[in-house]
Parts: sequence; C-alpha cells; structure tokens
Amino acid sequence: MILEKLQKWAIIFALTSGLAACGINTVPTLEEKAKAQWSQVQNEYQRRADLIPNLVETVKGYAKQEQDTLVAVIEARAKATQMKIDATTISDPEKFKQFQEAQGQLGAALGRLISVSERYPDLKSNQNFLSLQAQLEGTENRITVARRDYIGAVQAYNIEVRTFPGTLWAKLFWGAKVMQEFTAAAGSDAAPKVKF
Amino acid sequence: MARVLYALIVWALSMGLAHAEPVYPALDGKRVVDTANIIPSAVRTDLEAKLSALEVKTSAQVVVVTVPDLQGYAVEDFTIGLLRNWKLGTKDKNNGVLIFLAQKERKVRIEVGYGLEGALTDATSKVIISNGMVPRLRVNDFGGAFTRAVDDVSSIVGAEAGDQGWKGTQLNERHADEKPDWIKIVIFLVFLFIFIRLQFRGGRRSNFGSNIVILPGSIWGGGRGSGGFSGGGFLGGGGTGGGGGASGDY
Repeated sequence: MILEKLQKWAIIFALTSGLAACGINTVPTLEEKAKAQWSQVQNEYQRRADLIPNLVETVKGYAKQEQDTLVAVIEARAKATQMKIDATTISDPEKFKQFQEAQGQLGAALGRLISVSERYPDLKSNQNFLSLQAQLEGTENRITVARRDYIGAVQAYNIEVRTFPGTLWAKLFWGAKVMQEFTAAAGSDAAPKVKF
Repeated sequence: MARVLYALIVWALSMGLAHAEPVYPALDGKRVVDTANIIPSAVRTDLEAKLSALEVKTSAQVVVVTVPDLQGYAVEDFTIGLLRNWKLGTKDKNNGVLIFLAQKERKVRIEVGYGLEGALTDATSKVIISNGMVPRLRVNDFGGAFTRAVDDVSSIVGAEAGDQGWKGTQLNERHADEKPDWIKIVIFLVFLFIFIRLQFRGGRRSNFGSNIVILPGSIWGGGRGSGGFSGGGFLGGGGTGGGGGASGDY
C-alpha cells in the first residue's frame, strides 16, 4: 500500500519536475524580471521628477525673465507624473507610447531649462544649482542604464514568448503577452546636455 | 514562418547587442588598475593599502582605474559596464565604487554601486571630481588626484559603514550562497530506491509499466558554474550598480 502511494507521488514528482525542466517556469520568471526592471525605470523617472521643483525654484531666483521655459518644465512634469503606468500595463502599446512621450517632453523641457541657465553666470556658480545639476545629470544617466536593463529583460522575455518551446507555455498556460520596448523618438528623447 | 523569422532576427540582434561591449582591462587581483600607466608606483602601493584597509573596515570595494582610451564609448557606458563586469561590492550590499580616468578623452568619473548611492551621492561625487581631482589633474599630478579622491571616498564610505566591520575573509564567503547539493542527492537516492523496488516487484502488478522512469535532467545537472579564484588576489564580490556617480573633464 505504502509503496503504491509512494509510486504515485514519485510519478507526480517526476512529471512536475519534468515540466519544470522543459521550461514551463521560464516565462513567468522572465516576466517577473522584466517587471522588476520596469519598476526601476519608473523609479528613476520619479527621481528626476522629484528634483524638478527644487531646480525650478533655484533657477527662478536668478532668471525670472525665463518664465516661459520654467512654466514649460512645470507643465511637462505635471503631465509626466500624472501618467501612471504600472507593471501590468507594459504590454499595452498605446499606454506605453504615452508614457514615453510624456517623459520625452519633460526631458526636452529640462534640456531647454539647463541651456537657458548657461546665460546666467551668477546662477551657474550657485552651489545649490551646481549640486542640482550634478544630481540631474546622474539621474539622466541612471534612466539610461535602467532603460537599457529593461530593454534587455524584455528582449529575453519576448524571445521566450515568441519562440519554441516557450511560445507553447506562453499561449496554452500563461496567456502571456509580448511586452513593449523603448524606442528612441527623434530628438524628443535626447537627454538634456548638462554642461559644466 | 514569419514569426519564427522575426524571433530569429530579434535573437540575432540581441546577441549582437550583447557582444557590443568594450574590451575591459583585467582586474588581476589589484585595487589600482593603472593601464594608462600614469600613477607613480609609490602612490600605487599606498592606494592599494588604503583601499584594502577600507574593504576590511567596511566591506566596500573601491577600485582606481585608468585606461588609455574609451574605445569610442561614452565614459558612463564604459564605467557601468566595467563595474558590472568586475562585480565590485558584495552581492547583498552592492557597495562597489570605481574611480576612473580615461587619458585620451581627459575624462574622469566616479561610478557608484547601488548600495552606496545614498552616501556617495551624485552631487558629492561631482564635488570630489571638480574640487579634489580636476585641479590636480590639470597640472598632471595624477598621484595627488587619485590620493585625494581615494581619501575623500574612503572617509564618506567609512562614515556610512560606521562600525559594521567586515567579518570573515572574502575568499571563504564567496561561495556561501551556493547551497550544498546533498538535498538533491538524497531525493535522487530515495526515488532511485523506490524505482528499483518497483522494478523488482514489477512482475506481480505492472499496471504502471515499471519502465517509465522520468528523471528530469536539469534538476540534477544544474548549479555550480563558478570557477575558482586566481591566487588569493582581490576579486569582485558580486555587486552591481545602476549608473550612480558623476563625471567630469580635466
């Protein structure tokens, strides 16, 4: 009797581990990795958004006449932070595109703000401004790294979902969808040049 | 068919991307990797000792690197790749730091691992570069510039770590996260035993067809991919980073 039970368990074990061996877990594993990378991307964008109020205040103190540029940054920031896109919606191309556009516009507005700041020597030598500039530069770099990591993770996931045998599991078992990658939008996506 | 082709193309592209990496200098068990050969040897010895002491005290792995050129890459791309390639910092703390100089491009950068981004912020790194390093580099005082940078980084990292000393030797702990395989072996033996018993009794009621033995290969085959280490020298501890730090020109 005991042996018979054991035998059943042995077969169940062998079957499940057999399934694991032929990659049924690869799809959700890669999916989770890509989602984690996505959170990192959002995290870095949030970090940039958090820097902006301080930056705007500092610039305002020295360059009041640049009202248009300052307002553009504030508006772009508001737009970008309103967009909430979480880990489950990265497979939605439309939402993803909107997110990317909003962040791209904020990046462009920030770039203009920084280049305008070049005209104000007092501002350029302000310690607070220098510190903010360094943080902004670092954050832009982090965004680049996070985006690159995300693209790598999504690529691994998409390849698994689109190729055999992963595509079988993705369709039959997980109902997994292809995730969106970043595309380099012409110009709007360029990181603001921070000059020292 | 089109899908298969597409997948193949995506795969080929990703392979291409994966290989598009600069040739990184070898760590070679050193903490001062002076491939541009600009740091005086007395300073090099001094920095090695300081950085080694810092790791003992805080577990942070700080490495000074100079390269002749960036091989066409942006300095930020080069240093994040290098930090990840060398896996500086411990695996759980990610407390690695690169103090980097590219001679031809006249670029310096402090690349900070995830774990130290809070202490060694971008703004602080920038101050170390622009106040501590650049003025010395402009008069070709490479030894002085790196000594100053190492002292500054050490005091910040040391203050952050407080008295969380580095316990145990790094060499023994490197493989601590690899669990022994004995659990797998025991499970394997148990099942082997059951199947053997079944084989013997199989004559009486063999409705299961006792020849079906599915032993998944990957369960027993995996694990243990890591190589040994080179002669007890300094090695990265598995840390990573996300592009923190600051850059500057001199």
